[in-house]
Amino acid sequence: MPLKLVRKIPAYNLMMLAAIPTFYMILRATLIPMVWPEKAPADCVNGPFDGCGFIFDEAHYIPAVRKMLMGEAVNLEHPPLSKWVIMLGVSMFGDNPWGWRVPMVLFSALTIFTVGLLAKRLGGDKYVLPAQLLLFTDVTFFNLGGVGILDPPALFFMTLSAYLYVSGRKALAGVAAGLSMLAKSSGILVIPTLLALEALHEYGKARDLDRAVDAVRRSVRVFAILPLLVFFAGIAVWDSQTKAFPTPLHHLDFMLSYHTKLSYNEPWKVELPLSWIIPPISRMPSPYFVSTVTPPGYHPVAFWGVSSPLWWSVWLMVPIAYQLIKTSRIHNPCPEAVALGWFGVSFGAFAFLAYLFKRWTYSFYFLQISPILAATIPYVLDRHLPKTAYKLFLAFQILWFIMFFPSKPDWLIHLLGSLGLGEVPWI
Amino acid sequence: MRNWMTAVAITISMIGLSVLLHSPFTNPSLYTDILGFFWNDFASRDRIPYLQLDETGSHFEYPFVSGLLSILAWKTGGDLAGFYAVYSGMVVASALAMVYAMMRLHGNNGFWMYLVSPSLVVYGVYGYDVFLAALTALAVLFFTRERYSLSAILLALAFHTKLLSILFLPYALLRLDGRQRLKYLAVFGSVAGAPIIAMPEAFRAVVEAQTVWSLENAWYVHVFPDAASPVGPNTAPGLSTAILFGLIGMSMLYLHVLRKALSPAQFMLLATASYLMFTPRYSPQTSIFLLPFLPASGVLMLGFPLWELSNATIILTWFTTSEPFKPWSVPQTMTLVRFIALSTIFVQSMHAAGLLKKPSSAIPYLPRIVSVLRRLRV
Repeated sequence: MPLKLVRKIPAYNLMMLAAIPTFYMILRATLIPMVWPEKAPADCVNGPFDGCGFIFDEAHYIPAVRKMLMGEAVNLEHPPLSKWVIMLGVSMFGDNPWGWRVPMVLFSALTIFTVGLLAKRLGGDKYVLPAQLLLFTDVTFFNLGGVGILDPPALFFMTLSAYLYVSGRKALAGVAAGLSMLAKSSGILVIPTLLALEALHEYGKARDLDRAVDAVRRSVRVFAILPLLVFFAGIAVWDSQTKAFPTPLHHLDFMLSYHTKLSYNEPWKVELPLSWIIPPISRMPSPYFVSTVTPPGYHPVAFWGVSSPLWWSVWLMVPIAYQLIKTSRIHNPCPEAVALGWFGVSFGAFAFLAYLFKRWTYSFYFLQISPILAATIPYVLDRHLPKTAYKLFLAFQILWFIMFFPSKPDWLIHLLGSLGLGEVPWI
Repeated sequence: MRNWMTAVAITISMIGLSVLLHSPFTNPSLYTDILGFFWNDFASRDRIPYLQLDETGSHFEYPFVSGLLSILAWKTGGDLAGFYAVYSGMVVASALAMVYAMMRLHGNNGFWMYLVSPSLVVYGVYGYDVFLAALTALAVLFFTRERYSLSAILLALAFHTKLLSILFLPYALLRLDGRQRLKYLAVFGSVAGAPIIAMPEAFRAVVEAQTVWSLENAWYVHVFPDAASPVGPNTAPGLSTAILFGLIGMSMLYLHVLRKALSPAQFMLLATASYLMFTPRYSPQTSIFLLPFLPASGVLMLGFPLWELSNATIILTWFTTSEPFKPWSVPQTMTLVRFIALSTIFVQSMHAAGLLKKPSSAIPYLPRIVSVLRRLRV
């Protein structure tokens, strides 16, 4: 049977799938110049970075990209793909926020597009729009989706990997997993996740753990070895340019050593995993870039990192999916199994590292789960709860998004104030 | 009965010799961890493991059952001689329990020959490995007798002796169905979880001590020479890759043997061998853990003696060189020999378990490769 790299999508469906990503692209692009540097790029290669117009971790990666463009071997603790993407953006649009952020906006729009494909494949056309809207309105995804950091390309390849997996193109899913690792190290979690999904589906068919283990055994080549080969190939290319390490293994060693040293001593300072999936009552949202006008003390531009109803929905999804897999035989792909497996492995891995090994974690790590949740939650809620539940859920998510929209017009600020939300410190 | 008596006689002789060789009152005596880690660092300074730290501010690095047994021997024995006598008695009792489990697991077919083991002599009264082997072998025995709750309790106790017994848990869950599986998990979880909940920091320190370490007698120190380090965590270049290499190798082999078609003893033999072949930290005394399951592979003419002798040689030559951790030092050469011997044991055990497929042609996979090439040409 010939290998199908591309499957045709009818024109109508393509328009339906592309509408929300296009809207995202336009809206997010309009916010790009809102945070603009006051200093020249040459003054923002080494710190301090005040006035450089960086949002969040751009302060790490944009100077690194600048040094890489000058031929220096820097930021070697993180894989190169996302930085290459930023370099491409800089060479196309110049060394300014357009150059850093436009490629990221494009990747995030592609992620939303792929979430649509995933929702369509798992549940049908009905769930494409709600799934894409859920991801679009995920506050942290929206804000970081247009920032020059490692995450947008990594998230795209992760989501692509999930889509290719559920559509039966396993080798390509493995390649996409490798590319996500090459964009950001945490992409490595896609490997156990894909293996877990394979095991979960096999288990769900016949309630036989032995068959599930056998499925994992058979899948190791495509879901573990292939991604690692892709990753090593990319690292080898980078090393051949920089000459920083004699072999990719040496480079890997450097990366692993770096990532194992990031441990904390004071847990209250850390955004630990449990705080990601409960509303922001235990800790304040993270200010990625916030400008404040005093008086009256509001924020005309505020990029917050905050959980959203989509993240909290795991409290509903987990028992529903568990019950379904436990009591009935499931087909492949099963949306509940995909949601449970993806969340279980990714969140479990972060929880394991954070609580047992005391490794620093950040709430935006949940973005690794958001696209898959967005693609599956409408179907899961619609199937297992009253018909209006997922629509109400979507409405709540959109309202939450509006509250945290990075640039609020005066009327919205007044409206929120009149609703009694004016005293909420992050409005 | 005759086999049982033979086995008991051999075990008592082996452990008895170990007691003499490690005794602090013999001159010269062989090094033993229980005097190094427990007596010198804690008991002799009147410090209680888990509740107090040692002189250097470190936790006791073994899990709770190991600590508890040591404290029991200390409090019962009083002084060093008493402690050593009580502890040695415990080791003998555990070794006999292990022999009982072996006999019941493998029948009377010459299982005792695996007790003629240099490791039992050189590492018998050394650490907590005999306790671990006995508890795990009993857990496996009761599992085969379908006394699952008892098996889960023993496995949890073994887990708190040295974490290694956890290797059996996935297999047990694989073999059981529905409520039995949940019950096994619940019993294991409660017994293993209770002390962790009571003393989470102490347990975390144990896990850290057992996992944050450099390459210790792993054969691939010859592949990653920079990762060699005498003691303690190090930041040598190559260490992380070396550990990753070990973890991947170990996981792949473990995954390959995790099948419910195997008998519990066969599985433990293969799973433990997988672990020992690739663990970054193969302390030679850990070999004792494999002994109760070795008879499941049939007769190991070449592999067993070679594995045992190379394993014993590691400690016997350790103090003869200033850098025993360096590649091609005598101890590290022995780790390579030990790996080769263990590999032959593994392959033979795979064969005995029916996991080695016969290649369909002289060169395996050749027909498949030809077929793929033909399709590509078309």
